[in-house]
Order: sequence, then structure tokens, then C-alpha cells
Amino acid sequence: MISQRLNDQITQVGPGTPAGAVLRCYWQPAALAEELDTALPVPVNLMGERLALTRDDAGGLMLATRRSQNTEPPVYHPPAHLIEIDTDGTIYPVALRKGVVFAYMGDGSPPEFPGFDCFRADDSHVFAFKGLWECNWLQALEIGIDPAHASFLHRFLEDEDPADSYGKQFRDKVDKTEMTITQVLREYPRPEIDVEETNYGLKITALRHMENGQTHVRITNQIFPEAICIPMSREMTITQWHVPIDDRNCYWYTLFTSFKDPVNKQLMRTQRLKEHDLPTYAPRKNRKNYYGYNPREQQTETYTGMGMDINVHDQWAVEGMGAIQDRTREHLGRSDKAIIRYRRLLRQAIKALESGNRSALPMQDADSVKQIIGPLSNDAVAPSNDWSDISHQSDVERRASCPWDATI
Amino acid sequence: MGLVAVDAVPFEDFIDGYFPLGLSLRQLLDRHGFASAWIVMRVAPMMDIPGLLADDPVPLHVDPADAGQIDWLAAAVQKREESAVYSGCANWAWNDQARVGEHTLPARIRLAEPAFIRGIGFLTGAHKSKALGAVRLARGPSDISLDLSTGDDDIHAIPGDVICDLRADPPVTRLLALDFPIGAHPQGREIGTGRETLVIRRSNDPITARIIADFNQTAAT
Repeated sequence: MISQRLNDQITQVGPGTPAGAVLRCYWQPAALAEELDTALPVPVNLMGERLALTRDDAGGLMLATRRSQNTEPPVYHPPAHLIEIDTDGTIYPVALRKGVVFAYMGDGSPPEFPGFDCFRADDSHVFAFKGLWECNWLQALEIGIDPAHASFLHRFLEDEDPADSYGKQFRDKVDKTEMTITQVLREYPRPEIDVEETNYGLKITALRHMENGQTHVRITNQIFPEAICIPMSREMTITQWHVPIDDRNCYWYTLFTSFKDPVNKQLMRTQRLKEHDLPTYAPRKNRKNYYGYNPREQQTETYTGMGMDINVHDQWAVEGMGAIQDRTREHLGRSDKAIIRYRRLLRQAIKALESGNRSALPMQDADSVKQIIGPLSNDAVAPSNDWSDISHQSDVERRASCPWDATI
Repeated sequence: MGLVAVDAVPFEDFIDGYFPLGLSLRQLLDRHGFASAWIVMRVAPMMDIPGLLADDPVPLHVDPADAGQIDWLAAAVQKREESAVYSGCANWAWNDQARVGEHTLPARIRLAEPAFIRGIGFLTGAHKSKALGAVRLARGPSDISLDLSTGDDDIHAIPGDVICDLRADPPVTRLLALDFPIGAHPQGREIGTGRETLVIRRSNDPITARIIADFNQTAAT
């Protein structure tokens, strides 16, 4: 239960704010590449600024300031002919990576992109999408780095056929077992959580101790400052950013990366467009329709009664806290280890930046950041006394059989 | 006795918020089976609620006037009755501007969030130290040494190894507010008698390396 002042420090991201300054040291997703298929300029509402993607005189893409009214709604998406670029405004550099347009809004030269799997994979093996959550970016990130909630919020009372699991989180089997992740999460709800600082952020290990001396190991990651990398299936990982539109709204941007077959992008897009409206990528299930809550479904199928898409469960949980979570009333427990470690990282980064020591932030050294690869993100079941080696071995095997160069 | 190798364990752990800090630290000691410990904590929100008794539950929310943040804290912790006492050095700030210039952290403070800490834990033995209770001498080589001499002799720095100068202050639970000149060892107002030196030798142990890095960060701020 921190003070309002400390809560403001870690949640506010507009120009001149402490956390905003940290986020501006990194490339931030600004739009999906598919949004450029419409006429330019394309509006971008990012970090409290009203911007637009447009072409410069040489035909290159740039992110420019657009003229706007203070009364604009947060996710205002005017058509191209209504967008007026402010020729005196700031222009930010952009870079297109794997279906996402990234922008750099900080001082000096932009940092190098790290060599994460989502950036190394062939284009055929990465699919990008985004969605709107009407809440502050930090509570959106914090649900992503908590391994304990999945056993409750995403509890499925029955398991689907893994053959129908393509593009769906938790429905696949754990590698080399017949158990689905949904079964593991349901039957072993009390993970032992370990958190380790890395050169990119945090490595989070959730151990669910099972019978017969076996342990389910799930490795997820926090990529500083506001992304996660988590397993989606035996073949795919999710790298997801929680990007502020302003202090009360954010977009999640996800890169789905396959280590085996090319991503079926049409199917993935179709699945997601059923749940989101264009051009704002606002979810169709939302507060106004109670996230599709069905009490009969809650009795027999799901913990939340809010359907089979776990993204909706997370959306309800983070939006339900209010636009900005009131941490003056928060009480963290022992399972909140990853959140506690992350806030320590963020506060240290804020302090370092205020002291003029940007090099103390993760992934700011140009030479070393390109060498940052991976990260390891998978599910495995292993003997309890050997889970670390088995998890690592499972990752090595997946990378060895990967059609693109995923070696580490 | 001079500088002696002691039986000690580098560790990393979380301590609960919301309880009096001494109680949270006592739970840490009991969890690990330590008699005492030297800890480093960084960027930890805290609260000091007037009139809240040690046994009282934490309120549902914190009044801004009672809130603050520990920038860093390095302290020796010992068991005392059912809680723990701690003494050392720290840097902190309260929201309440009237508290600027305070040189003591009240013993009643509670962390406003659980905190991640690193430290060295000491096992019970027969050799009495000032800040760390009765410690056990190491039976073999150890990266951790204590100067168990009494008196007020100046510390003879061991180049590259000495990273903390504990100002033992028995028997009072008190923390000193110290200003750290960049690059220098902690200097502060003497309120106790005697001094004690903890020497942590640089080694390949990853936890020890992180403890040293954490403490060096505190000394630089």
C-alpha cells in the first residue's frame, strides 16, 4: 500500500514524468504494419502524445505530431483526410520489425534492438496483433508477470482437445506429456515462484510440484521496461508489450513466434478479428457488456464465466481495478515476488535516470544489447531434482529443430 | 581476536510488508535458521503510522503524511525477544516535509510493500560480536570475516575487500542517517561505542557478487 505520490511515480508516463522517461529510453510499438495498408497519415496515440505515421520528404516513414483538441477521446482514430500534421511539432524515428512499427521517443540516438527470438525469426514465423485495454500500462504488465493467477483466473473446468488448440493460450499439451496446460494449472494451483534478474529484465520460474517426484516448470520473462515473453504452446511463444496510450489506456502488442511451422497468419487474424473492432482494435467483450459473463458457463466450464479467450479474463481483471490501480489500498503477498522485483527494477531505473546515469538501465549498451538473445520460455515436466536441466534441454531441442536460426 | 573467518551464508529473500520491520526481519532469520544477518535493501516504500501499536493490523490504506521510501538500507539484524533489532545505515525520505533532517528511523516503521533483500546470514556460535550476536567460526575457508576486536582502533582497510563498516550500537534499536560521499566508506555520527568490521571477500559466488554490487550502488548514491 504505497502512497499516491509513489503510485504516480510508477504509473504516469506523459512527457516529463519519471516512468515516462524510462519508457522513452526504449523502442515502443506504435502501430501494426497492417494499419499502414490504409491511407496515410495514420493516427497514433502514444505515451500521452497525439501523433501520426506519415511519410517524410524522402518517402520514408516517420512519426510526427498531429494537431489535436484536448477534448479528443483517448483512442481517437480520425480518417487520414482529417489529420493535420503539426509542422512545428516533434518528429520521432520509427523502425518496422516483424509486422510492428516501433517508435523511439527518447533523447539521443535510439538503442539497438536486442536479438530476441521474435526479432530473429523469419517473417513467415511471426504474427503481430494488438488490442486495447482501458487501464494503465503498469497493471496490464503486472498481470503478465504474475505466475499464480493463471490457476484461478484462467481455470478451465474441462480441457479442450489439443488438436483444436492452435493460436490459443494454455490449450496445448506440456512437452512430452499427455497433460494440457489447463489441467496442470487447475490441479496444481500453488506454484513455487523464483525470480532472477537478467540482462534483459527478469526470468520468472513457476514450479508446480506434482506426484511421483515430478515438477511442472513454466519459464516466463519480463523484458524491461514493459514487455513479457511467455510460452503459448510447444511450438510458439508470445512476446507482448503493454504500451501506454496515456495514463488510463494502453495497447497490448503481441508477436507470436513459431519455432516449427510457419504461422497460419490468416487463421490467427481471423480468430482475433472476431473479438476486436477496427480501426481501434477495441475488444468486443468489455465493461459495457460485462465481458460476456455467463453464469451457466461459470458453473460448468470456466472460473470467470467470460468465455474461452484468456485475454478477456486478463482484460476484466486489469480493467476491474479501475483506470489506474489505487495502490494506496493494495496489499501484496508472498506470491507477488515478480511484481515486487519488477517494481524494484523500475524504481532503480527511475532513480538512475534522474541521476543522469542512463547506462545503468537494462539493454542500453549498444554493443551488448545486440548479443541478447532468447529468452528461454517454455513449459516442461521434469523430475523435481532436475527441473532446471530438463527445462533447458527442452529449449535446446526446440531450437535445434527450428527451421530458422534460433541457436543460442 | 582480530579478523576471523565465520560461518555465514549469502542469501536473497523477500520480507513481508505491513508488519513492523523488526518482525518481518525476525521472520526472515527464523526462515533461514540464522541467528543474525547483515542485509542490504533498496528502494522500499515504507510507512510510519502514529499510534499504531506493534500488534495492530495494518490499516486498509496509508495516509500520504505517513508514507515514505527507503532509498537504501544496510543493517545488522539480531533476534531480540520475539522480534529483531537492527542497526546500521540508510538513506530515506518521508512525504512529510517536516521530517526532513531526521537522523533516525523509528523502530515502529513498517514496509508498505514486501521487499527483496540480499544479505549474509550468520549461524549461532560461541564467539560474541557486537552487531551480529554470537557467531560461529568457520571450520574451513570462508569468504566472510568479522573483526571481533573490542576497542576503538581505526579500521585498517584491506584494499579491495572491505565493503562495509558496521557501527554497532547495542542495545538500542536505532538506525543512523548517514551521508555517503561518493566513493568513501560510510561516515556518521558516533552514537555507540566500538566498531566492527565485516569483510566480504569477492568470490565467484553469484549471490555474493550481487550483494557487493547492491552495496556499492548504495555507497554511490
